[in-house]
Amino acid sequence: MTLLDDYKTSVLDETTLTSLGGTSGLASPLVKRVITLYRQEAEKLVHGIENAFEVDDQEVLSRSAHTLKSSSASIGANALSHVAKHIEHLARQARIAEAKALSTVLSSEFTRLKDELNSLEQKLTLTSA
Amino acid sequence: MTPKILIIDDDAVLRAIAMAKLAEEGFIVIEAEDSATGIQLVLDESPDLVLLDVVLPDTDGYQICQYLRSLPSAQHLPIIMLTGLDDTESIVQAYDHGATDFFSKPINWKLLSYRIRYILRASRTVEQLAHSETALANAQRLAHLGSWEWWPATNTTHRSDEYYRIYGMHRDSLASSMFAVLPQVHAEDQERVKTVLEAAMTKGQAYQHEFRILAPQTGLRVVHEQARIFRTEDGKVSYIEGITQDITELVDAQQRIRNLAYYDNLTGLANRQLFRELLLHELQRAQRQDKQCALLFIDLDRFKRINDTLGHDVGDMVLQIIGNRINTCIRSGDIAALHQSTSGKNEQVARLGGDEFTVVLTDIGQPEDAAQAARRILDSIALPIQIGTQEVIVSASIGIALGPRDGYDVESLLKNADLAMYSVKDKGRNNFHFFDHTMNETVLNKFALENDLRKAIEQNQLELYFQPKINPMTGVIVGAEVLLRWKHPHRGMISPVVFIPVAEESGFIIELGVWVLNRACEINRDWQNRGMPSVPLAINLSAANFRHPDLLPGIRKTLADLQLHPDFLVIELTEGVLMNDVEESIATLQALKDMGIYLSVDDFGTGYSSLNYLKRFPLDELKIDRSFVKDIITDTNDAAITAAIIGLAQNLKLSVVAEGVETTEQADFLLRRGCNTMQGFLFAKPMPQKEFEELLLAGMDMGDMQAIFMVEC
Repeated sequence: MTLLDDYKTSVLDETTLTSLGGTSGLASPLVKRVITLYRQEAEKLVHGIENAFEVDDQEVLSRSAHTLKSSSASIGANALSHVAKHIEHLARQARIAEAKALSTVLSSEFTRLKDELNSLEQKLTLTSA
Repeated sequence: MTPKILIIDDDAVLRAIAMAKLAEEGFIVIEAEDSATGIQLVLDESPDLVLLDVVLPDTDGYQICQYLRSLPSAQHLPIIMLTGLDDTESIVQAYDHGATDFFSKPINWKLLSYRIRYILRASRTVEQLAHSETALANAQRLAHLGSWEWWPATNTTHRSDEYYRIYGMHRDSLASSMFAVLPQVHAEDQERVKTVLEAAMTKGQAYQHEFRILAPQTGLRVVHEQARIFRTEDGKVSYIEGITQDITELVDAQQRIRNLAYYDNLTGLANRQLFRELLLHELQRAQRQDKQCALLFIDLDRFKRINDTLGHDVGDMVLQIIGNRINTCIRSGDIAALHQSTSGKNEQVARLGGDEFTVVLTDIGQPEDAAQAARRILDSIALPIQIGTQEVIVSASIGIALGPRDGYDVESLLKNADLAMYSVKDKGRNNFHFFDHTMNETVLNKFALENDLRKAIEQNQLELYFQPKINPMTGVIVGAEVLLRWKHPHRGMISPVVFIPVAEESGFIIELGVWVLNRACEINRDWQNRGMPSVPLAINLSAANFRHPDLLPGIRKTLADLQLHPDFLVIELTEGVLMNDVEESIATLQALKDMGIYLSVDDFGTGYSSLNYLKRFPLDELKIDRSFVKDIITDTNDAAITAAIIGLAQNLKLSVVAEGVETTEQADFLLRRGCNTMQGFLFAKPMPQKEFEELLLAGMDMGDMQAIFMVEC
């Protein structure tokens, strides 16, 4: 795999969050806040996408996918961002059926991400404690 | 000032991060999750920059960008659109919809904050430029001044907004050629404007001129245009820069100023100045073309009565109405004027009593036409005038003189129309008369004079002149005799020899005498107030004044009101006056003396005074009549009498003044005999107040005379 592929498939690129934290790095309170916020938002967005799959809502599908792509990229959750991007792209072109096919990938990547976030949080709690 | 950033993005995570990271970089951040909120925040918070996502819940970012650009307040607002990485489509779209810049996600916050700073700096410059442009546009609008640039090679122009406004044209409807405005230039000026433009274009001739244009909404306007030529190094005309200014208001103002100088404020008729010019013009024209013009003198009968009973405001209104009526009775080529009295100083004061209208009928076929016009005017004036609840009726007397038959110049025409008018008054008023050569000047003169004299005081036609009394040895001015002069509006200077008798006959002399005395005292007071050297002023008192019961209280009041010391008032009385009723004279003289007033006997030697009575009059001074002084060198009798008078005066302890001294020999003679106060043309003629004041300040220049006297004595 190329570096590019590596980037695309990394579940959580910690450098993003680190730079976000500034001088305190991952230990920064901002990072903590952002992770919490992300969890909430991402949960809503993934649900939204799944609903949109159910009812074939192109509009909601493309918008939610767009936002999920954006948020995920913001915290370095590149793999999920990548999936969301695909879904957005297909949704814009009204290729709902093809987008639906990505549903499984979406949920699996989301799960992987959540696990990564959990372990990260644990690591941080231990270090600060 | 801390820059304020607005982020419009529905990604809550992004917004949270943006708030934190941008705040770290020193910005104030506000957020919106959809376009509606975003737009409201732009309007309410006036952010310095907007971060805008491409996709929003209610619309797409491009539409928002375009919408923001359309708002006047957000025209120059920097908008950075947050686009997708490798998403060229969105980058192009952002540009097309007016975005200032794009930044792709995922966002490098450090980088973004630098980008934001660069953009803010650039946008400040743009704003300053916009302000200057607005300020310039406003200045141009205020001055009604449009600026333009012209490239002759292509005959294209660039013009400011005000230029279009002046021509009342829309920017898009006027072609770029400099000649495109020609159709709107006044027909008479078009050729000239075209020539000037061509000269500028081909020969590089700079210009400055005025011309008229017709603009759609504003009509006829006058514009001033000037151009500067810029050449290339080889001398060719490369570019022309100019301004076009609407100066219509300026031209109107100048016209108004001219009108003021030539038209009476109250009635809008021509005033004396303009009228005389026009009359002269018509007279000359009539002579040249062998035609006739008519001058009508319209005098309102007993107008003074209206001013006195109803007040000057009503009087003014009547004048206005009469002016209008006269105007409607004459043709457009004829001229009507209201004669205001001359005062020179204060036009408001001058209006008092101005009740004479004059009309010039130009180019009349026959005298009948003038008669008809006069009749029309009389009828029109006779109609009742409604002033509020008051109904006023006036009538007029009209004198008609035909030019050039009744006068070759303005003066004689005016005089004869005046005479004709007075003949109407003499015969009962409310009528018109043509001048004819049989009109008796002396009879009418007296009548007219009396009439006019009464008005003369009000209309400031009377003036005091001063003849200095001096000591020839020292050149010191010891006093002055006050003489009355009358400048008649039509007849010029009228000598007191003519009008005093008229005044005496009518009894008006009393008012006149009082006026002269008061005026002389006022002038003296004024001199003292101004710190000028002040001398006693001698007033000639007529018999009527001397005998009048009000004489003493009147003088007392005047002196008291003006706080003038009696030393400055001298009263001259002729022998005749005193001798009329000796006992009464003595009493009056004594009373005056008690007030501290200096008393002088005028024309001494010519009356019937018995020396017996002379010693009983409480006097201070004798004035030797000029008839004696005239021949003292040639006639031994006159010389003897003069010497005797001087001796008499000295013995009675009276001062003596010689009148009518015209030669140095006479002066010399008098001095040797002991008379050292003199009056006469040798020293100074009677002169107006101003001149006399200069004399007082400068002192008399005795010049050669002093040499003669010094040697002798």
